[in-house]
Amino acid sequence: MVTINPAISLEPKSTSNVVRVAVPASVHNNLEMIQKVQREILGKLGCLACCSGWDIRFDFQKQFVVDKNMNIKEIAR
Amino acid sequence: MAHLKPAAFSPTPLGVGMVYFPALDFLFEHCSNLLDVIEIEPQTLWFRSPGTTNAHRLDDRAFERVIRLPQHKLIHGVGLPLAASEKFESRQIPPWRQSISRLNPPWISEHLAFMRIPNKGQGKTSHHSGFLLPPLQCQETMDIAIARIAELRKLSAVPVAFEIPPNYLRPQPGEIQDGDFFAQIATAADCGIVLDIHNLWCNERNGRQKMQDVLERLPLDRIWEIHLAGGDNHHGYWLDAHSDLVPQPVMEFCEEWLPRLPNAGALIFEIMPVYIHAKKIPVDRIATQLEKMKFLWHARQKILPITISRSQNPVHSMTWIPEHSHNVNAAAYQKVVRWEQSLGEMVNGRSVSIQNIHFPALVDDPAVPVYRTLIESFRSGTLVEGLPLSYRLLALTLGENVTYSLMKEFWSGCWPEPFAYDEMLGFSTFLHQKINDKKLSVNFLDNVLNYEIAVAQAQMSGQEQFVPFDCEPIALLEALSRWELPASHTPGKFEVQVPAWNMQEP
Repeated sequence: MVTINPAISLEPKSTSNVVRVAVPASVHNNLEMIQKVQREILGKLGCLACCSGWDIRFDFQKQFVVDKNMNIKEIAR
Repeated sequence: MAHLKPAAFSPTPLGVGMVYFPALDFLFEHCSNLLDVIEIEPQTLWFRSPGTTNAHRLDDRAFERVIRLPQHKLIHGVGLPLAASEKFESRQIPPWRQSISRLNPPWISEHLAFMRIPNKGQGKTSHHSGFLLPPLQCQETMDIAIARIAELRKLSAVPVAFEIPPNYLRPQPGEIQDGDFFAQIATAADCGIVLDIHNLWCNERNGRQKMQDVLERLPLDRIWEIHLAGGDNHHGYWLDAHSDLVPQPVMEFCEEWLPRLPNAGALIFEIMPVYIHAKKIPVDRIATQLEKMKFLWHARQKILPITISRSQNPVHSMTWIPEHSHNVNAAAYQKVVRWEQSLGEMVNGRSVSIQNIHFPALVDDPAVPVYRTLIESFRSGTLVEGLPLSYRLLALTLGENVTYSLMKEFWSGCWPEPFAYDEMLGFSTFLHQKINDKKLSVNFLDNVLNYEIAVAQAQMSGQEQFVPFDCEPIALLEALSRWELPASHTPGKFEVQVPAWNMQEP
């Protein structure tokens, strides 16, 4: 039997035995921080902007996380 | 000898400003009284329409936010570079015109650079270069640039200025010197110049013509706009990274030359938002710098006697017209194409065979690997920002070095894409193929990749998506969002509902 996180809202999918899951608010908030950043760059042309330097987003991803108040904090890994 | 004719257009002085990014809204609020102008790079506020049309549309919400700002608006293009053999992308023209119509700038500007690499095969489409790259400074490029500027002016219906670009390459044998190259284009095209002093400082520090010498060649009455920025050192090169406050020598040069620019319309500071966070640059220090710029702007009115530079070189008549490029000047056109192909391929890590080396000085130019690493930094930045959970799953499972090697393998086979979404999709497809070929095994990577692509599609299309998972998905996604692997997983058939994102919601 499948054990389900009780925080998840569940909706049986009508056509099969697949369990449809909506991301709960507690998790959604955290993911939303990530997706907000993604939204800023999606589908947009010229994301390089007028800049000819080193792009630190990769280094930044490795060193920082965004907390639920949208504060960027350094993480020790 | 031809004399440089004076500029016909004289911009209204607007004042001090900054380049706009949505992430800098807090700064525009904090420093509103110090800013007279906002410079918008409009392409960064366009979306690609969902579906197969590849058309662009304006991000209405972002434009409305910008329009509400009380400052004057200027437009600085980042998608229609002016020293390129490729024609302007037709799909960019309608949103470009709409952007001008909405923001009503007194003039617009673009880069004297190229960012498409013509394909060597007949009838094949060109590639995105991944970076604004410097042109070969020769008569043929000048002729192309002059024609492009005329074309941009016609379709924009406002005066056009070009920005003097950074150029990390050594001067090529036989190249026209920097100052003469810019001066002759500006005069022959009858256009303005965006004097990016930080770019000139980069060029001088990296071995090109001295700033003073460049300025002495330029028609100073054509300088409508001045850009200031900060940068960083990278393997001995000073980069135009827009990554810091303005260095003191750049500010001092501005102080020295600004009073000599009779038609200066705006003094603009450029900084990338991510660096404000990364370097913890206090907002107050940015405000102090803007105050200094305001001081210089107002002090410039004590104008020094103006000596308008006169080029010693004649301005040649145009030898190339875009509509007839297949006729008399095909050879000249081909020279520029070969430059774009050579540099574009080398900085993207493509091997160039001996018989195809038309510019041997490029082969051992140490700036070529610098450009290559910069392009890779942009591509990796796009991937970790677009697919952060997939990247974390890879890095946590395989390690960061192996993950980066996968990215490099992807880049070696796929040219850069101008859209972040297309880069994400390309890397996702590459990883799926490896999984299918059993050359890559990372638990649930295919699920997480599909989830992040679906989130992107939901955001772009405004339609909800459903993504199958082979395990209970929430624990997995929650752990990755904390930069952790889940302690355990529950297998099963699940489907995550990805809600539509309403474009009108904040």
